[in-house]
Amino acid sequence: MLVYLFRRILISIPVVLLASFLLFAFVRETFDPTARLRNVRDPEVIARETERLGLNDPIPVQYGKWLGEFAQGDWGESARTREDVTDMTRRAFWNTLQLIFWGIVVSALIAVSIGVYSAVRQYSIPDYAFTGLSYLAIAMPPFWFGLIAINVFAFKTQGWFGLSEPPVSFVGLHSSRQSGYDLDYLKHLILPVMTLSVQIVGSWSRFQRSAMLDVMSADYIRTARAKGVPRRTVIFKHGVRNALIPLVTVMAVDIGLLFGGLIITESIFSVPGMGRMFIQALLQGDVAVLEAWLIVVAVFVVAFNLLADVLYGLLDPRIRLT
Amino acid sequence: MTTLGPHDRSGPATVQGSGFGHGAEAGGAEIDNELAAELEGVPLASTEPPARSQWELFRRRFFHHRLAAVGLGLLVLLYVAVFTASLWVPQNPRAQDVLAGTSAPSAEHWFGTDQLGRDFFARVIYAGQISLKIGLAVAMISTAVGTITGSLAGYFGRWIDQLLMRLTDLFLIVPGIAVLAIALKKFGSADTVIILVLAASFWMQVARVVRGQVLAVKEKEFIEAARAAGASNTRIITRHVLPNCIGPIVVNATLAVAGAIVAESTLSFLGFGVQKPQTSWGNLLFDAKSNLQFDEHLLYFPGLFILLTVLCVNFVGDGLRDALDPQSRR
Repeated sequence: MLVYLFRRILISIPVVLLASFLLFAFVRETFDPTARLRNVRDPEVIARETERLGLNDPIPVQYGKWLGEFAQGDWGESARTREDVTDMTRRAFWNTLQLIFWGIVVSALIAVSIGVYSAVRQYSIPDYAFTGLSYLAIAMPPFWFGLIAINVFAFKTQGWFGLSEPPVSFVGLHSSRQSGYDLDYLKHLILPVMTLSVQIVGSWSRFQRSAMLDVMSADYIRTARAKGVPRRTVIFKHGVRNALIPLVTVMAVDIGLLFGGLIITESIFSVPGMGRMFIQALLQGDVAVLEAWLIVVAVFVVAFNLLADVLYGLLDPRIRLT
Repeated sequence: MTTLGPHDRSGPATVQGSGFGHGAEAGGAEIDNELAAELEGVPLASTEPPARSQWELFRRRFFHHRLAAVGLGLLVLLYVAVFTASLWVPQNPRAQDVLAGTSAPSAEHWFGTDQLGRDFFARVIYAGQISLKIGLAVAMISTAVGTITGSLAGYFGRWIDQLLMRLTDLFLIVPGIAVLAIALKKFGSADTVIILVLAASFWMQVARVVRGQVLAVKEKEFIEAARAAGASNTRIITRHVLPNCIGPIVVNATLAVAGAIVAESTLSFLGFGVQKPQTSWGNLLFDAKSNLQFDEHLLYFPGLFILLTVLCVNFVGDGLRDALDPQSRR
């Protein structure tokens, strides 16, 4: 197990490094880090800044320098706000992590319940209804769902019940001057988590349904039923526990997709997380922030994939990781 | 690797053996018998099942899938309606009536009007021209490029294979939408640029699928036979290998249309895609964002069109998957 983990990490390192180099070159080609001096007429000043940032070196040299500083925790400063990128990222990442956590928890709970129910009551009316809904959920652009959610759950609901203010909030994660994890937090969390989850629930529930159907037609299920184990016990103890295993891999792969969803969700709901940081950095051509963002996300996704593989091995004793 | 689009994890439809081309005789005969049994009006005296071409079999299986048939019909209707808009939509999507401003849907303005008093039905239909064009173009380009690279990688293996796999790996670890947004920032947002940038990210998915398929097919005996008969590599790939990969290729091409439309609308919604004065469905939703409390017709109609298109495409994809799978018994 440890050997496997060690080897996987070793394999991941060059992949992340190569990705980071390509992205670094791509970002440097796209944006001019001296752009904020655009209004300065004096070419001398721009030349000095170019020299200071080492922009005259070839890209691989620049990358080497940048990587060295990055590894030591010096991620540069934002070209706009002059803020330390390390601090910015840490703050943004914490907010994003909350969305990811709740998004995965909520999606997994709903998707597994739907999937198991649909499989156990295959071809029932609810099964067909869930199938139809999942088609809709998968086809619906997430950003459109987010906008509709604001329209319906904040404004329409307010009108229907004659409330003085929208029942759920759609700006940020906390009201101003609040930071606790209380009712206010929950009110802010509902819509973004919903937006983040809808497509994932659609696809995970389909996956869970077919995994459950596979398991329920296995010989050991028939054996269990034949020797008189109650149906309920068979479903939950023998069925669901085994049907959950394949979902773990799918979850890991979808973490990458989740970051795409976060960019959309955070920009709709103004959550000060990684997604919004990316959009702002991109709009402002903030090179240091973009570079840090891409690496952090890449490492996160790779780490998650690794975690899923390890979990997969732990959950399913039939699989030996070597 | 549409990191944006629907999770089309159903991805590679496993078309084993072959639907088109070789070795379908055994399966084909059985299907023929089944179909013959269903047919009424065929003289019972004739024991010989009516001969059917592959195309006929395919068509029957596809239209047996009702949602797929409906989806295809709607999709064709949508494309025709949108691209002939200038012939049948009476309103001009640019004609403003600023004093009138926003109005809800009515008999005169089916989808209401927007903030500048422009007829919203005309705006949505004309916006469809951009969205649908991008969807189709991206699917076509990415399928062509993906099929070529995928079959080369699968057939010749070695470095081109390695390169392809590593490239797709890289794209799996960074959200596609982020890379696309940066690329559009770099290359601009003209139609052609959007199409090329999206195609550049979509072809890898196709290539990966084709590669897997080619790897399986190239070990088959009929390939060996073709080689023994002296066929060149080009001939083997184009006449023997690719026809046997048609299923996954077509299914992926279909789904790419939906993926590209969603990707484009998402990027336009975030402000990196289609730029004004050109309008796509994503732009219309970008405008709707500023007023979510009132005027929800501006929010619902463009989104409904995206949803409808994607749904239809997905249904057609399902139908094709079944119809092109020789193992299916419909």
